[in-house]
Amino acid sequence: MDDSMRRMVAEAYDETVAEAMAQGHPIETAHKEGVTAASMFLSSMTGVEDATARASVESLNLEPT
Amino acid sequence: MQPEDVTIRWTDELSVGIPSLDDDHKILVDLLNSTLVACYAGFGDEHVGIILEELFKYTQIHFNREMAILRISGYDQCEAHEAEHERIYHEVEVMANRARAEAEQGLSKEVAAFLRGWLFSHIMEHDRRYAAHLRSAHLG
Repeated sequence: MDDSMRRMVAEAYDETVAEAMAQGHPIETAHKEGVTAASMFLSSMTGVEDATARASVESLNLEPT
Repeated sequence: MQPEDVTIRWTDELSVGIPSLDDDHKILVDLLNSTLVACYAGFGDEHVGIILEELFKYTQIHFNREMAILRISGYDQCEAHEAEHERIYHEVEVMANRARAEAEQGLSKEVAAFLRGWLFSHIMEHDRRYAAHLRSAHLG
């Protein structure tokens, strides 16, 4: 994953976490949603398998800010 | 009207060509079918309410995911797509309230048609537009 894609994946995570928390979801749920959305984004944009995309996102150790 | 008359069967026609998004849509189809069957079967309000709540929650989650993906991928129809989400979400809420109210007598044809139609419309008309954008993004 190059820097540009890493930045966009992090944005997908951050945006989804913020939206989930704004809708009243607890931070753990928001984090899970963020990881899922970021994985879907990576999979959609690169064509990699879902499981591979999720592993790549999890390796970034993204956390709610 | 029988349950198989109101439920939706996943076919390739519903695929947007992106596996992760198709998987999300399949979950929506399953939840919608559970809702339709529960309403048709005349389950009690409490049971139908629980299933409807699941449908609403997942719809909201799905829409959140979609919008994050579309904004960050630079989709040029984001605002229109988000407005469509809001319209659908509001209409689903209104119609689902009616479905819940009519559950004891079985689901009316109108409500059943709406609940089936909104998903077909969402996936086949609106999501296919952005799917082409995402596919071109990763192919290009």
